[in-house]
Amino acid sequence: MMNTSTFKGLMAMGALSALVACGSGSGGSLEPTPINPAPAPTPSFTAAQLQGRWVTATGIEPQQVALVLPTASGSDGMTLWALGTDFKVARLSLGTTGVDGLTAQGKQWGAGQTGSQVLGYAGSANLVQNTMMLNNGALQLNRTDNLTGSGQLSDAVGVWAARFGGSAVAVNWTVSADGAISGPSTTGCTYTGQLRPRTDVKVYQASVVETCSTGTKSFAGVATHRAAAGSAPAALTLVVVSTDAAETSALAVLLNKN
Amino acid sequence: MPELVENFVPSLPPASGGLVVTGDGNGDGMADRLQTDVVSVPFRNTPQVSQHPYAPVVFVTLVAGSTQGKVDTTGSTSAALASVVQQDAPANLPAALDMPLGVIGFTANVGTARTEETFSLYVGAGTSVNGYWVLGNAGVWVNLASAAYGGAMVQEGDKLRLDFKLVDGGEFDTNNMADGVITAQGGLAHMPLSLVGYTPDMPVSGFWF
Repeated sequence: MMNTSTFKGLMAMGALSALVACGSGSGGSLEPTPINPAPAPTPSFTAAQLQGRWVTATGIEPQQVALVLPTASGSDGMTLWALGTDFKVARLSLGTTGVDGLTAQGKQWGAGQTGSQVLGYAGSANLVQNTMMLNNGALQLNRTDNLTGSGQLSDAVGVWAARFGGSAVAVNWTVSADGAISGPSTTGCTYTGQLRPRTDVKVYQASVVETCSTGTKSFAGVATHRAAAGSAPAALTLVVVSTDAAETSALAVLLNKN
Repeated sequence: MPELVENFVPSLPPASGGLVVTGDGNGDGMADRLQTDVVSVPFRNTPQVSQHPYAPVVFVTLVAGSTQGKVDTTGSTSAALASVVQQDAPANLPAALDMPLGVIGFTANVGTARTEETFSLYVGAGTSVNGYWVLGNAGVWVNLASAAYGGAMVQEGDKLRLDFKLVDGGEFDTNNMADGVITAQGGLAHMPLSLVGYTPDMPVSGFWF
């Protein structure tokens, strides 16, 4: 592979040759020798190979978890969903560049806030070490699970509870055998929705409709399940974005099984 | 409640278009002082009535055995209001919960044990509330004036009407007995309804995504 200094040297020589040719006054049709552009670097991986659950190292606060998933719409591409312990939600389209470079473009939503922030990250990945860096290294992630397989609806069936705002609000949702979500919040809103296990990756597609006396709002996104372990109940986390054109808000619903 | 005081409640014109009756807080065409299941009470416009006993007066009207704010005369049971009082809002309310008139404590004799009774509260439409909130067994305030809990909040004339259901001996009957008496401690309050306004709590099982 040509290094940068060699390439620049050749360019200079080429330019010089052209100047010499043009200024020779010979009247001939001497053309400058074309310079072949440097070949595009071959990527060392595809975005699809980044599928999985990626987490920040222990001790990094706020902890971040990113799920890299094939885009649910069926179009080519990978989507990175991120949730931190600060409960900010991000959804980014992931692409590759150069040998091991990454680009990530999308939005971030603050917890409990309306409105989003546009994000654009550059980064890199190393599949041998299962590491990924975004935001020019500010966000370092390690892959802990490839998420191969498919979501199991039976895991999600049951009654789930979550709280918000320092126990100001509680939700109790039931997921039925067909994946239908239903239940109220203590503020008097009702929720309906659907969990659909994906067959290509071990997550669920999630949709939720919130109906309050103040209005109705629809959300769509992704959900993941963790089995009960010891005294810790099973967990089901939904990360969904409002489906209005401006995608004004997002919800992170961290449910535990009752 | 002294009958004379009850006559000062701003009357609600009957929806049927009949004559406005003095002292008719719920617009049923009858003075509240003549009804055992309708009471209009002057509250102080403060969440801490013990500290501000001379705050401006606002009237609250409570209807027991209510159908859309009017006494249900078709049912086989009847309810009578024994007391309605204003109390201080609890000091440990969630930050998002604003209870401008404090707690409304009331007792209703509903006759048969385990009876479910519907109540309505009327307050001036300018009062910034979006529900009738009671503290549930799980330690979370619940908006009973919502469809999810069989209630509703509507504007009727220049008043808000908040309908809610309570069961004798049920979760929100604070005397905890199925004895034919419903005792309630709730408040007209405002709190954001949508989950979008809230930060999730960390679940007991820890963070997972």
